[in-house]
Parts: sequence; structure tokens; C-alpha cells
Amino acid sequence: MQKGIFVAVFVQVVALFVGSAFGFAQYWPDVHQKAFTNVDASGWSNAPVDQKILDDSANIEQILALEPPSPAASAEQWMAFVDAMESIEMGDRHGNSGITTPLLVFYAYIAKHHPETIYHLLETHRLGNRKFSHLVEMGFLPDWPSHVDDAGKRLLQSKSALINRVLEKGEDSARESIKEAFFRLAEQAKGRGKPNLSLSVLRYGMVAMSTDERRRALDLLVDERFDIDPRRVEELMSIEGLDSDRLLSLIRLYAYDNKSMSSYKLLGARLGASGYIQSMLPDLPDNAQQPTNFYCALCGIVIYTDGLVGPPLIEAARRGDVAVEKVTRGKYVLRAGGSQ
Amino acid sequence: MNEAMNIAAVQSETHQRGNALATVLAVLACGVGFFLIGYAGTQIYLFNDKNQRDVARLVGSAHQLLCEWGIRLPDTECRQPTMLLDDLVDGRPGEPLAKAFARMPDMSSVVRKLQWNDGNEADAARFMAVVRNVGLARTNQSRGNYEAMDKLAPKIASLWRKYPDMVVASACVYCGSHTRLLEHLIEDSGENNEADLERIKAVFSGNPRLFRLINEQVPFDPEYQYRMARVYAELSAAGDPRTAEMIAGILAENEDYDRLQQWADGGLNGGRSLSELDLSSLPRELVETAWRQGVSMAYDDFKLTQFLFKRGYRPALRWVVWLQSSELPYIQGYLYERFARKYQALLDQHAEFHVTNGASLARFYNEYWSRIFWDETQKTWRFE
Repeated sequence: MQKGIFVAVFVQVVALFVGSAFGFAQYWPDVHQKAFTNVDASGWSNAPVDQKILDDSANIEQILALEPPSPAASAEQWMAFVDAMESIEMGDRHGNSGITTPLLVFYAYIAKHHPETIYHLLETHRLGNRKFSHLVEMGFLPDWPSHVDDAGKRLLQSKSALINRVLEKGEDSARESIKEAFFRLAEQAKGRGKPNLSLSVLRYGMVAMSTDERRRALDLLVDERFDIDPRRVEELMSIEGLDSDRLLSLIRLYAYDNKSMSSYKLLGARLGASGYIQSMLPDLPDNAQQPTNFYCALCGIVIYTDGLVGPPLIEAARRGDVAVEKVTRGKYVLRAGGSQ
Repeated sequence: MNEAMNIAAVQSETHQRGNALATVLAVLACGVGFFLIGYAGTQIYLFNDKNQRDVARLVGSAHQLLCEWGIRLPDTECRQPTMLLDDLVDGRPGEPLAKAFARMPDMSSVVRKLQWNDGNEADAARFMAVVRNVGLARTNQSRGNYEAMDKLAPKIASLWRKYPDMVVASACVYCGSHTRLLEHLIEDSGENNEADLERIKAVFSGNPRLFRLINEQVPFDPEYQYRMARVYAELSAAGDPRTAEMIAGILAENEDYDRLQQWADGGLNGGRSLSELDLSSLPRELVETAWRQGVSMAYDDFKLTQFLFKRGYRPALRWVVWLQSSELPYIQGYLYERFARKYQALLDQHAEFHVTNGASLARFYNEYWSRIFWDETQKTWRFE
């Protein structure tokens, strides 16, 4: 009896299974397609090519063919790999020189497994400061100061390098390093090419300087020993002991007309040069003269002036009929009835 | 007697045979029934596309397992442990991959074609380079690229677990939708983040935005947070409001107002850094610095404007007068539209002007600006 029940149950189970298998078999082509391909039902093989996208793309087959050496491989083999990377056909829009290259991950790979190659590229100018800063920022090259020719110079040019140094050695040590590097490079720069200098890095180092040293540092900047960004002069405004007129002279020395540069005008106005207020007035209607990168003429007018506002000011500015009266450093009054 | 017994025995046997036959037929009939249930039930289940995909996933996983054991099945291939661009060039064999990608309308379509099947670190680098390349070629599709990261993150979850540094370093922090991808990966990793925290620390400490991403999921100890916040305040800038707020919060908690001032005075989002703080507990100069930083880029924070407007800060008054008396798209974008009524309410409730809106407001201010002053007792702007 029990045997009979067992057989009966077994037959039902088998029947259920066989029925399911037959039912499943009808859908197997669909399941197979979903399991083993990612092809959309429509596919794209007949769609038109977007030429711009194609032109901006690097050669993907060449990217897929890149084969990094093993960490134990020779320096020559690693350099051969770099040569292979640099020979890849890049798109029109993004080359391989900066940090917008699609090959950036390979530089990280090299930095991780054979950092000597990165240092060699750095010293032979085949790898720029931006890539170097990116790699340091991402936690690669932890002991870079021991492997570059002038660690102090790197600190002055790369905030990422400085952050790394602060985290490794502490704030005091980092500030002293900046101070030393700054004065040394300023001395070396006499009559030679000007090195780049990040003013926020200098500000960091100035905390470790005496008042006299800070003034001397400012004198060296005015003497154009370095190449600086005039938009960043505001970094130095919080440092005690620096003369506002000298800071203003830095802006005048280094500023130039360019759509990405104009925020220095607000800074100049803040430091007391009424001419910058005048120069911002024509931009009031639409800011179109300098639309990019954080420049807002009207905003500067709001912050640093009183008097005329709104459409009447815009109209007066259009007629060249606005007088800018300086009240105190960084504060002005706008009145109608003056020529620009 | 014997004959009767024989007849009875035969009849009994026949009866038993009949019963057995009936039982067998019943079992077979039930079997047919179960067969039909199985057949129809399976088809009804697989009629649903989602169920098909679920089953397909199981089949794929089982197949992968068999491949790992070295067992091959007919009509299927065992994929090599590397990235595979599935059937990318179906219908156009030999076509360059870049061209095949260029036929696709958006990044999401591209991502659907990408598949990470596990591999070594070199494979990971190649994969991320391809991802980066296709994204860079579609820089003008920023919105589509951003949304595609939602789809890409789950595909590379295992890559992320093994080689997070390769993923993070594959693009600059503020490039394209890179941060969006990292946000997903970190969120999806959940408790795995804690296990890898020490390894991830080195990768994420160099940049405040990266720091914020991981700190939100797996907070660093307070001492480390403050140490990093000090460094960022002096040497970096917030690339987004959330990062600005986080670092500001850490500095405020430690009452480091000098560095908070530096942080608020830097970058696009410095002016947003105080949004989550009690402004009345902060030095006034700090609040003014943050306000100026935001306004100088036409990116003000209404909370700061409101705070300073109601405390007699004249530039804040002028800012609101400009906003409510002029029509200038470059200062009245989508952010302004969200708060337009609130800006107007400031004038209506805290300024005793003859007019508080439109070109008449500008004319009024121009005529009486030297006679407008802040009445601390009445908490209102008045003129005499």
C-alpha cells in the first residue's frame, strides 16, 4: 500500500516536472537571449552614426589592447607601456595631456605598481602638474617628496601635494617647507623663467612667516618672481601685515582681459580701486562681456556700492552718466551726472 | 466445493486486477493533470517579461558557475574573465567599437552594452578607460550621462569591491558624472565600506568631496574629521553644497571660526556652507563673508540674505532691491524663482517704503537711499 502511494506521488512529481520542462522549453529562446546577450530587441546596428561623438572618441580597440607590465617588469618595459598609451589615437576633444584623458586610470595603475615610472615622466616633463596632483590627491605616490627633484617647488604649485604633506608631516612642518621653498625659488627666479605659484599655498606658508617676511614675500611677488593668478590675490587678504595697495598692484600687474578672468575686478574694487567699479558698469544689463566662471558685475556693484540701483542705474551707465565716489576702501557711492 | 472456491478465487483476482487497472488509470490521469499544470503554469509564469529576466539571471549565474568548474554546455560559450562588450557589433562585424557606440542615442544605451565579468586589475583599468572614453565623447549629453551612472554602478559593484582606487582615480573628481557614480557605489556597498575603510581612507582623503561621500556612509572618528576639515578649510574648496555644509558643520562644532571663515570665503559653494547652522550662534563677520562669497557669483543663499536683511546689513538690502526691482535673467535664475515670494516678503514685512516692487522700487531707492536706515528697535528699514 505504502509502496503504491509512493509510486503514485512519484509519478505526479515527474509529470509536473516534465510538464514544466515542456512549458519552459517554449520560452527557452527568450530566456537564452536574456541570459547570454545584452542585445536590445531593437539593437543599434542600423542607427546613424553621430559623427561628433565618433570624432571625440579615442580608439577603443587600442585601449582594450593595452597590457600593463607586471610590477616586477623592468623600467624599460614600463616605459614601453607608456609609449603604447601615448600612441593611442585620441578623440578631437580630449587629448592625453591633462586630467580629462580617458587613460587617466592607467596612470593610476602605473603609480600604484611602478611609481618610479611616474617620477621619471615627471622629471622628463612627460607628465604635467595636473596629473601629478590628481595622483597624489587619489592617495598614490605617498612618499613623492623623496623622489622628485625639488619637493618644495612641487608644494608651491600643487595644493594636492601640500594636503598630502600636511597629512603626512603635520601643519607646522608643511608651513616651514613652503616658506623655505618660496624664498629659495624667488631667489633662483631672478632673470630666469618664472615658476608658477599657488597663492593659497603661499597663504598657508605665510602663517609661519614673521610680519617682515610676509612683506618681503609680497615685494617678491610685485617684483614678478612668480607667475600667479590675479583672481587668487584675495587669498592673501586675510594675512595680517600685508598692505592693501601692494595687493592691488599685484592685480594690476597680472590681470588681463579674458572671459574667464574678470572676477579680479570685484577684488580690485574691494581693495579700493574705483576704476574697477567703472569697468563693471557696462556689464550690468546682461553680464555678457564676461559670462563665464563666477563673475557677476551686478553682484560687485551690490556688495561694494550704494546709491543708484536697478534700471535707472543701467540706463545711466548706458549713457556714460555715472559718477563713482569713493567713500572708503571697498565702499563707493554711485550717482548720476558724472562721466565714465 | 473446490470448484466453487476456484470460481470465487478467479472472481477475486479479476476484481483485484480491475481495481489495479483503475488505480493505474487514475494515477496516469492525475499525472496528465499534473503535466498540464506544470506546462501551463510555467508558461503563465514566463509570459511575464520580468520573470523571464529573473530566470535568465539564474541561468546565467548557473552557467558561469559551470564555466568556472570547466564544464561547457552546447550552444553557449564560457566567457573569459574579462570585460566583454556583449554583441556590440551585431550585424556589422568588423566595425570599430567607437563607431558602434556612436550609433547609440545616449550613455544609458552604451551602459547596457557593457558587462563586467570579473577580472584582474588590468582588466579593471581597461574597463574604466572605456567607460571614461564613451562618457567624454558625450560631454554634451551631461544629463544622460548623469542618469546612466544609476545603471552602471550595479554592473561594476564587484569591480568596485576589488579595485576601488582604480574606479575613483579613473576621472577627476569634478569631471562629468564621476561623483554620481561614486555615490552609488558607496551607497550600494553598505557595510562593506566599513571593512575597507582603511584602504578607502587613502583614496578619499585628498579631496573634500570624496571625503564627504565616504564620511556620510561610514563616519570617520571625530578627531580625524576635524583634522581633515582644518586642512580643507585652508587649502581646498567645496565643490558642492553638501560638502560645504559638512565641513562647515565640523568646524563649527569645534568652534574653529577662523577656519570656518576661510572655508566660507572660498569656491562656488562657500556661500552655502552655513546653510545648516544656527546663524545667530556664529560671528556676524563670518555670516557676512559667506553671504558675500555667494552673492559675488550670483549664487546667494536666501537664508543668509534673510538673516542679514533683518539685521540691518545694507548690501543685503540692496541685493533684495535689485532682485525685486529689475528683470535680469542672470541673477534671477531657477534658484531665485524658488524664493521670489520670500524675497518680496522681506521688503513687505521689514521695509517701510512707499513701494516695494518693480521699477518704482528702484526709483524710490534711488531718490531716498541716503535717508534709508535700519531701525534696530522696530526691526525694519525705514526712511526719513
